[in-house]
Amino acid sequence: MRAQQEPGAGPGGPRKEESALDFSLYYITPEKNSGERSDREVVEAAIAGGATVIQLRKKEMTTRRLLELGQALRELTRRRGVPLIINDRVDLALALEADGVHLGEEDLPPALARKILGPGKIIGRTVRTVEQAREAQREGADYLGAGAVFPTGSKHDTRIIGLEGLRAICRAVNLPVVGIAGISAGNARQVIEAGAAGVAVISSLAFAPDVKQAAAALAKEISAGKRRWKGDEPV
Amino acid sequence: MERGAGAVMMKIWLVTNRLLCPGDFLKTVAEACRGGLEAVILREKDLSPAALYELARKVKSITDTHGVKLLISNSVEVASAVECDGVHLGREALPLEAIRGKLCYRGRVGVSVHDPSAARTAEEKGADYLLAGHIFPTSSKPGLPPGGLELLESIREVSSLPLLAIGGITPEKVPALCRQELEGIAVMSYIMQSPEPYRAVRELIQAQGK
Repeated sequence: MRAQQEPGAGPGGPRKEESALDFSLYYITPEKNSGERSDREVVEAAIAGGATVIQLRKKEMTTRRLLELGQALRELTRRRGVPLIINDRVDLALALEADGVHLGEEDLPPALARKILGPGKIIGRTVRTVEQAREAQREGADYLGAGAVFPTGSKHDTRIIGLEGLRAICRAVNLPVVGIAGISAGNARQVIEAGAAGVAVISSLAFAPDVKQAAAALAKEISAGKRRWKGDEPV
Repeated sequence: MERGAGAVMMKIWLVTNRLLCPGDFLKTVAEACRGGLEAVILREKDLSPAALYELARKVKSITDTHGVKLLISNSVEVASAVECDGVHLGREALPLEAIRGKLCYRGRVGVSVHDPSAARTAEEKGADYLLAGHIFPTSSKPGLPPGGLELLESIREVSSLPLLAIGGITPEKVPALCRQELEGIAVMSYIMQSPEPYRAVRELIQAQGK
């Protein structure tokens, strides 16, 4: 087995060593929180429970309100030592001095985001296929968000790639891959076992009765998956 | 003082809206540039960043050819990506103080203002120019009362920044604007909707001699 390991061969394959980032539990803010909860409260509880990356994502919010919310989350994540990633908007990432930006197909390509943000920032890209994953790697993305892994209520019209699709993407690139969509404590371990460096969640945390507890339950499943994954690694 | 033949001409800026354009958008921009524009503000609010970036590249090759400046409305990221001459911040944009000193390129930053207090604030925060409007009634702002020439006068009292007027400007309105010490006039509909954009720009320039 050892001789067949290629760079980026997925679970057990060499990982990008220079990236000390922990993508294990990647929390994305919902468009609307449940009840009276504020984004700040949910993010704080998510971090307390073990979230390792926070993404600010609000497609419908005005720029000025997004800036205000972003400033509050920037202050919080900086204090807690957790990276803050901004969805879609490179200019907002720049204005907030965020740690990075996550780009979809309709956003600026990664190479341009890099030019604007500089070399030290994290650039993520959404992918659905192996081809898109390779393209994103060529364009200089630091990590990939791959999905939809499972059906979800958050995004209605996304194609389901399943664990098999995720596994193929993880094997095709030498970048950390975060699985997204429909992930909960019940299936997080499978996502990690498919080769993902982490899981991205919205509803599983945002709408949990106890956010901190839900994050801890997810984190536990993720580490269980990673233990198994390391067990397969060549010695 | 009489404003004679030596009076400084107002520069013509085109603010785009490709949805108003009866013909080919890029051809319209090129014809307007040829007519003698100073600058183009690319303002296409409905486009995604990726699509706006692609369009901005095409427009920039046209403006570069004609020696016309290009600014991008609202999208600081696209302005940075194409490294054009600046960014114009409207109501929907990031505020000036949020981007000052953080941009990876040095372009002009202009701000839309609708009253003197906004003009004063923009100047304090380091705006390079002001775009005041809307001055005359315009179909782009239905239902909103125009500020009239009084708006320009009241802004002049509080700010010495280069000032451009926008909103409902046609050649007939130009002589009145000539007395306002403006850097220029910004025009959308009269140029974008014209079947002859070259001639529309010439008319706006020639109306200043009348």
